[in-house]
Amino acid sequence: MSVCRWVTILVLMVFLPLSAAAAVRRAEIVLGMSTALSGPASQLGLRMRAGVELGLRQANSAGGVHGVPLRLICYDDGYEPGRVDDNIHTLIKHDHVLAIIGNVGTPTAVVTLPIIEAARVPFVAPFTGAGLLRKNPPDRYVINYRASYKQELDAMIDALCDHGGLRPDQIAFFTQRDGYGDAGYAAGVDALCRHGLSRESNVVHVRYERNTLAVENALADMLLAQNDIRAVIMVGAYAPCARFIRLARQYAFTPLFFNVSFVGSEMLQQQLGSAADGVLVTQVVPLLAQHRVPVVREYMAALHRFTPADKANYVGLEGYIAVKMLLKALEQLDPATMDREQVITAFEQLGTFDIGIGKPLYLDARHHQASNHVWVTRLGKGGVEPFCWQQIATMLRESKCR
Amino acid sequence: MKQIAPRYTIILLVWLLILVAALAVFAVVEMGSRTVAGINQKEDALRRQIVDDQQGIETLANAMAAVRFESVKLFHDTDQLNSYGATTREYITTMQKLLSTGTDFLPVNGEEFIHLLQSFSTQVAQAQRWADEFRAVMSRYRRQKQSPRAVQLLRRLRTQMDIQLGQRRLREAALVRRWRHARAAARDKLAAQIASLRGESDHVLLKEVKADVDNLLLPVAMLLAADNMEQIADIRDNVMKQGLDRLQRNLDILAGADSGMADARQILAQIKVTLFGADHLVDSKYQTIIVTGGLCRLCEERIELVQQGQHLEQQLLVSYARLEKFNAILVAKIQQRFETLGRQFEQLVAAEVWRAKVWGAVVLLVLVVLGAVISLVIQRQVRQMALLQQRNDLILNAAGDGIIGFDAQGNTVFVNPAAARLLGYDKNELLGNELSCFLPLQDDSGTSLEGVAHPLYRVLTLCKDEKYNSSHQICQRADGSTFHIQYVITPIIDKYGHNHGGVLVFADITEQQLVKQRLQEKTNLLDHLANHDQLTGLPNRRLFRDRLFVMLEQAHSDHGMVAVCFIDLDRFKQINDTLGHDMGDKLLIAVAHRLQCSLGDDGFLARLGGDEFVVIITAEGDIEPLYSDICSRFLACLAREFEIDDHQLFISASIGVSCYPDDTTDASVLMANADVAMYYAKHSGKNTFTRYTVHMNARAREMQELEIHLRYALDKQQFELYYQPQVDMNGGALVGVEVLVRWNHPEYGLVAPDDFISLAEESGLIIPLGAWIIDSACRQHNAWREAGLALVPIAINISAVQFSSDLLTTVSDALQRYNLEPALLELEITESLLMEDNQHIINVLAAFKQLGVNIAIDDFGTGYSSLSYLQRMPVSKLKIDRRFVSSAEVDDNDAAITASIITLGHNMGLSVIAEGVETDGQARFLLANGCNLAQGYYYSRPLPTAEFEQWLR
Repeated sequence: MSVCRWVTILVLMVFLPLSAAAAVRRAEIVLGMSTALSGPASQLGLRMRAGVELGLRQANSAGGVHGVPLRLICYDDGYEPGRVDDNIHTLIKHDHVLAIIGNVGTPTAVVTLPIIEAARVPFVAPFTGAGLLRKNPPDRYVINYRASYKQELDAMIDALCDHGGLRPDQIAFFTQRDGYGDAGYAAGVDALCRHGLSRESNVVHVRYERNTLAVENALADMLLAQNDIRAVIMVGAYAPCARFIRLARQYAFTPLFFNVSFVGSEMLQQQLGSAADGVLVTQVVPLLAQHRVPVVREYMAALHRFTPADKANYVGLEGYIAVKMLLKALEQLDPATMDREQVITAFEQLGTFDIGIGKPLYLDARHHQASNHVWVTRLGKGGVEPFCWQQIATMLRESKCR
Repeated sequence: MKQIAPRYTIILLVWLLILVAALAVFAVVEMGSRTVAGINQKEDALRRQIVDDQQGIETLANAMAAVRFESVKLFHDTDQLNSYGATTREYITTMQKLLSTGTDFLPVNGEEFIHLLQSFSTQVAQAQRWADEFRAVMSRYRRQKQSPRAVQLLRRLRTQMDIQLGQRRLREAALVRRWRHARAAARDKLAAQIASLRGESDHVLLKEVKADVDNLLLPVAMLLAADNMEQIADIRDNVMKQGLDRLQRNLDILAGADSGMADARQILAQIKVTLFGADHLVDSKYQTIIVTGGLCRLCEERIELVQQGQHLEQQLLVSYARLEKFNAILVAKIQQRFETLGRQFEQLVAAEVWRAKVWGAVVLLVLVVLGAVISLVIQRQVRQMALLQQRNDLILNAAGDGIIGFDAQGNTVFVNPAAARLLGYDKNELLGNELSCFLPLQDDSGTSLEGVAHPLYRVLTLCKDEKYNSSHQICQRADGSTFHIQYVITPIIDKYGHNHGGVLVFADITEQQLVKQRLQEKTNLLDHLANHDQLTGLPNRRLFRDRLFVMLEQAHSDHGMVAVCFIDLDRFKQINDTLGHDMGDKLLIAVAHRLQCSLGDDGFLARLGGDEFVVIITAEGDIEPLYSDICSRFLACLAREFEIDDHQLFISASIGVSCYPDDTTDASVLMANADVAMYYAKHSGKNTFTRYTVHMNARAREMQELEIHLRYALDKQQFELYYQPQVDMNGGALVGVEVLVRWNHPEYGLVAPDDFISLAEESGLIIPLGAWIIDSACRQHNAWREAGLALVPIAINISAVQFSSDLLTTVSDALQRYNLEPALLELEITESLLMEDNQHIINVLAAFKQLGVNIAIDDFGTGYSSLSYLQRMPVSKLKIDRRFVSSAEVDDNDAAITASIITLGHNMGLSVIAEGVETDGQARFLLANGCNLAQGYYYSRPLPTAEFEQWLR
């Protein structure tokens, strides 16, 4: 009896202070991230992490959230779904993160989603536009910043069909053989159906293996297809996409190449070199060239101040924006007592808000995606340039003549 | 010892006993506690050992359990860190410690045990070595299993093949596209190109390579999953070797055609190394691969180690079982030892308890002996005290006074028989009850003393050396009767000053009280007699003096004023003389009564004696209004007529007032001053009051001296008779002569009658003086008659006072002595004398009339006599007052009065003579109004005998 009581007391003595400390005093707000820091997609993860950390450094230098500093813990998953599981569990159970922010990738998100739903951890601004994270009604613990792939693809296809006057079967897809690629393709087919596609098989769809550069077969398939392919929408990583474009050009296959934001404009540009000219990339963040947009100006200033060695890039900007959005929610709360549920509630209570992207953002219980806006850029000789959808007809004409 | 009171002796002894008892108890307790401590100490040691042993056994069992647990972890949960070595070391240490506590613990087959321990240690070392090795292998194995390097390489090879194939397809596709858009001529050529492309052997080979690569993926997985050596050998030699050989062959062929295949061959070499080790060989005899490393070796090592582990675990389990058996033996041994120790301990306890019992008995014996001795002594002392108490009780019971003791709550604790008897209760009724209920007290005024007012409760608040004495209180007995109680209540105060009740000693003093009361009454009466006038009951002179002194003292300290008013009744002497002392006394009583009523509480009235009263008035401010008011009231109240024994008496009073401190500060002088003022009032016309003034005193002294001289004047022949002629104005004939007396004082010279007649009247000297005048006048008349001078009647003034003497005798004697005809004698009386309606006077006057002596009314007109009244009087002549005569000429009113008096007198048959005629006019007025007789300076002033004789001639 007494032993039992002693044991109980002892246990209480050990654990009560811990739980009390967790409840009463919060020395810092810990955020988690699992992303690709190695492998073919590593540039995405590294840049995303840099953007988030830049945002956090700036926030901490201004006193954090009501005086409590923020810290990011980041683990590498190499863009491999098999490694995500452990990372997320460690972040939740061991690091007790308040939220997970800026994870890169759709296949990794597929693994992450059930875990964060079960553990009720906010999953903020993942770097993916997959429909999986944009259910209706939305998953409570998923808060998106960016427009969906579907919205990106809609924008592309609307432009191609409306401004470029293409038939649906003139548009082909080059996708990665996984959730990401499939999501893009499904969204694209949906959009094409709106523009009069009668049968899905009329659309040329070629795929490549994730984390390989084996795109020759895909290109061969596309070349062998009967369709008069005038535009290729690519949903893949920057390296295979670049190789695909290079090979296509090599074989005098010169449709318009479209990439979604996930590809990372700068990396694609880098990989393609001179062959980059004319590749269009949709963006979900304001264009870096738009210096009048407040958030771009702030990002540049922060970059200059904290990491002058880094160059401005779209992925980094998205990470920076993700932090700004999270801070918007956290500032509504008392850092001493805030918990994960409160963070979600705070997000849902934001309604219409502005973090300086030049467009109003909106979040509530039924809308967990803050931004719906898609920008478009063109890779040119001078780098990533702003683009206007109206110019697409001209580009199509030029490509045909070539 | 004998000097000390028995009470203290007892206390001393009781304390001694208590001390001894306490010491004994302490001794016993100390001894007991020492015994218990000794037992406890030994028990503790024993218990400690038992606990230690039990703990040791428990620790041993736990250690074994831990060892087993760690062993399981070691063999089956290689990932986790385990502390198998530490745990086994701990077990062995525990075992050694336990064994070191007693040599008898060593089992009988000690050598076997030592051997067991040694072999166990060896096994443990082996197991640990195995575990290290196994862990290393397993970590590599697991890494490989998760993502086998061979598989990665195979995939890379396949991607390589993909790319190679894709490039070929791409070329073909480009041709197809060109073919599609080419003209018909070019088409055939293009078609041939496409066909030749498709017909290339490497195209097929590439596809074959791809399939081979895919085929090799499965054996790799199988290799990783294999759980015995045979399986591994089978996969290695029968599946993998052939697959790899074919792949090598195809790649070799492809390499010849395409330089791009060099990579692929390199990858294949890497795959072989990854699978079988860098320097693996092929046993050409059996066509088996001799493995030197790689994945195969890893899997083999794993299986070997697993088998080793199983064997080791078996061995260890046997050792555990044997060790546990030994544990059981140890437990039994320890149990045995406990029992032995327990028996020893019981014996020890029994011995200690016996020792404690013996010592306890000794101490108790000593205590009993000592107690017996002390109780004997106490008994003796108690007997002594009882005797003393008996004596005290006897004294208390025999005492005549009631004695009651009570406690701090006021409850009776002791009652002596006298107290019970005096209060009328049974002794037992009183005891233990609230005493105040049995002692209902009343004070003098009849107020009953209840509650906190009751003396008993007052006593409860008293301090040391204070007492409460009764003061004229009455107590009620049980039967309701009362008695005067005298008591003393003494509180019982202890040395700390706490009140513990008290003792009430009381006596019935009703008898004494009655005697005292009677004595007091007598004293009061005597006092009253001494201080009061018996006749009027007013305070007498003595009390007056005392009171005056007191009031003056008071006024002195209060700065107040005191007025002393001397009241003297006017002409009281006459009333006394004429109506007798009885009447006088009654009048005095009436006067005293009226004065007292009139005065009320405004002052202090006293009778000084005779007709003298005095009033003391006090006031804080100006006293004049007050005394004026009081004096006026006095005069008014006395002015009303007094009816005494059918007599109607009129009386007035003269009041003299003297004030303190204005007039004097001395009491005697104050009284003398008032006296003087009173005299002054009397002289200034009576029936008035006068305040003393300084000059008054001088005159009074003068008057006093005059009075003194007056007493001797008669003896010294200082009086002389003067004669004033009365004439008939019609012809101037002498009709009579008025005899006037003059005092020829050797110092003062001739003193006017106004100055000394009233003095003589007051002092009574008027009687001898009057007698002398009558006698002298009659003698003179006789002389004149013998000398042959005209025989006219002589008129002599008679004072009212003279009626108190035997005036009739005096007159008739004189007439007889000098042979004077009564008709020649005329007696003049004042009008006011008649108005007193004094029967005695009227009788005397009637007697004179009868004798033939004429009666004239002097100063007529001033008394406003009623004429009808006058008619009844034996009067034959009216003398008109000189006041009327002197003013008749100038004052119509007086003239009218004079005329009417003349007419009235004549009408009543009286002769009328005017006095004080000084002028011819007056004479003529009188004549005109029918009055022919006159007297006055106009005719002649009063003349001495010689001159008058001369005037006659």
